Amino acid sequence: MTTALLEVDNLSIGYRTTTGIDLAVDGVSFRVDRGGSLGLVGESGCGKTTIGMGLMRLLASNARIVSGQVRFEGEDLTTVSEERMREIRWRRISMIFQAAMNALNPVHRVQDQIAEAIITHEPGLSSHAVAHRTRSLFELVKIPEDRLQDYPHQFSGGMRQRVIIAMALACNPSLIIADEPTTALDVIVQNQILRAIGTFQKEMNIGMIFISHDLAVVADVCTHIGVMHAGSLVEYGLRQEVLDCPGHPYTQMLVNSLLTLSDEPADLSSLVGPTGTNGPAMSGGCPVHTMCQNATAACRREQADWVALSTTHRVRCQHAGEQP
Amino acid sequence: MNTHGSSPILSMTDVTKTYRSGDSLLGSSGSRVVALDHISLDINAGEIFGLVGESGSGKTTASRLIVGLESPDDGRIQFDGKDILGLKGRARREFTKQVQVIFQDPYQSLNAHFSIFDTVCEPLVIHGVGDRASRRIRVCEALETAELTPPESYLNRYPHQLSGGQRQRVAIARAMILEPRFLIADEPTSMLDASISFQIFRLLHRLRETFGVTMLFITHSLAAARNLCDRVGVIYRGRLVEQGTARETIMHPRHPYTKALLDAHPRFGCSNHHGYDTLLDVERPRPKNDHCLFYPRCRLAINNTCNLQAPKLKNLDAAHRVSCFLY
Repeated sequence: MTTALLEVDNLSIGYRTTTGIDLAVDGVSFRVDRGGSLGLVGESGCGKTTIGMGLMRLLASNARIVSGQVRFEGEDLTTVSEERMREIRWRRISMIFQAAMNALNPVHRVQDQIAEAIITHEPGLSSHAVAHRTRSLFELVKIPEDRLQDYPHQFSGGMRQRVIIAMALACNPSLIIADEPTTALDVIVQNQILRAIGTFQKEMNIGMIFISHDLAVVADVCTHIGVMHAGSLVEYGLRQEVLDCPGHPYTQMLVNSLLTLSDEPADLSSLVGPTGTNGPAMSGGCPVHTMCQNATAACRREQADWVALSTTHRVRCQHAGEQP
Repeated sequence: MNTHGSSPILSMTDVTKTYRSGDSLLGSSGSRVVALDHISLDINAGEIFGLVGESGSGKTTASRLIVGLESPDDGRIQFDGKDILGLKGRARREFTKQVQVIFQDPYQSLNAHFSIFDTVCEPLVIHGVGDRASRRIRVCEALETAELTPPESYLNRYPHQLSGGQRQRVAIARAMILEPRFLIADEPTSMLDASISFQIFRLLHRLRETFGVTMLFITHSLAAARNLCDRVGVIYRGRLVEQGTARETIMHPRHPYTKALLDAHPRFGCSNHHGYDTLLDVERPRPKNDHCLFYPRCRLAINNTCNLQAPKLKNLDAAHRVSCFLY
């Protein structure tokens, strides 16, 4: 068993509201290995991005880590000083933010913007070395070298997203957090970006957390899948295990609603989807009890403990493993 | 499957629409953007026709032209055999009753200050249908049609109190309340999560089965088109490049662009992947003269043909048409 690059243990993150602390992330645990990739899937508002921001310690001012540990390369990121965190950020852990392609500065050449990221975090580097690294980053994300001098508006959306990826890789991080990196892009461009991400992640042996609402995308890129619902991780396992035998009713619903290009179209009228809508997220019971057909009184009362389906696959549902 | 009528309820003939862009402060002369380039297609009564393409390919422009929000520069659009541009007065009002749209973003297409009742009822008010009591009944029926039950519990709520999926159902109820014959669904699920999208697809499918409403379904997802549509048209930069039954077009695509779209579709780690590999890694420069619009990206392009003229839409068989020099 390889040593974990990142181990998140029972992490809870809450937002301060007028009525107290609302947990957006509730006791989440997972690990990412060097060279491994974890896809965090769930609908919008389920806490995926909050986890990413929490790991980077970039939470909004009204949010804080309530409990739990984040062990990264031997340090607990929840307790290190802000100064130390600033050293870790981008050099050790970098992030591709959601819709970040719109965040490039329109009045600077893309080359200079990547160089800036390098110089800021590695001030000792010679200008020659910075230029060399910028060029090799462009090569990695497959942007022709003669576009280095261009401004962002001369790039298409897909190319701007590649620049953002190059920027995230600028300081050779060991962990990268990609938050919906392809959501606003077209299918063909999305596929190209996903392939680019897959390639560098394997070649550079980087660990990755890939956050997306789209199980199909995650299934294409990641070695592990974690399914989130209403702030909780409800299923975690190897990609194929989760896709082939989803144990949690919410995951089953996600897998069932994947539309494929199969020979025969899915019978839209017969497939059983969710019937109800999301109940109050934090009512204390299982987060999906309002839309689960197997829900019992116990499900409404408290959230189930983890059930191990295999050594690598666990589910938070008391009915897991039962025959339907 | 295709037992629905086969007379066209909507037909577009050589429809072209250009927008002027970039009349900028810096004085550069504005350029013309061709949003639709001589599009011809027929949509038959009772079918679900999918228009598939990337953003900017002209899909939404097509829908805006059909409902008459904009007029084409050239070409003809006929609904029920009548040119929609010539419709005036009563005939025009009748047309706007029969053609309804579900827009892409339910977070923006619903007025935040309108209660759900007001939103769904508005078409009845505009067209002067019914009185207070009968409108309330029809609103409830429409909400039930959109599977928002019990309907009474939604009447006095506001969009911000609903989830994205519920909002889109409200938009569907609003579109269905006048019992239209033709429904345009413009990427109705692109803002929604997968499981919610699935429910919306199922609902659209039921609407067709129950009410026989004809649909133009606009999407960038071939998988959605495969599962919902009878026929599809693939549009690239304003030109129709391939058209056929959903099954034939997706299982046996001909145009290199359709193949590229299929290659890009997520595969869920499965191996039943075609690997058509029609897309160039580095694009060729775009020729100045007329050319196949896909030429700069096409690995299969024929030199001295594809870069010199634009291919015409050819019939491969009764149902399948493709615009490519390879065929």
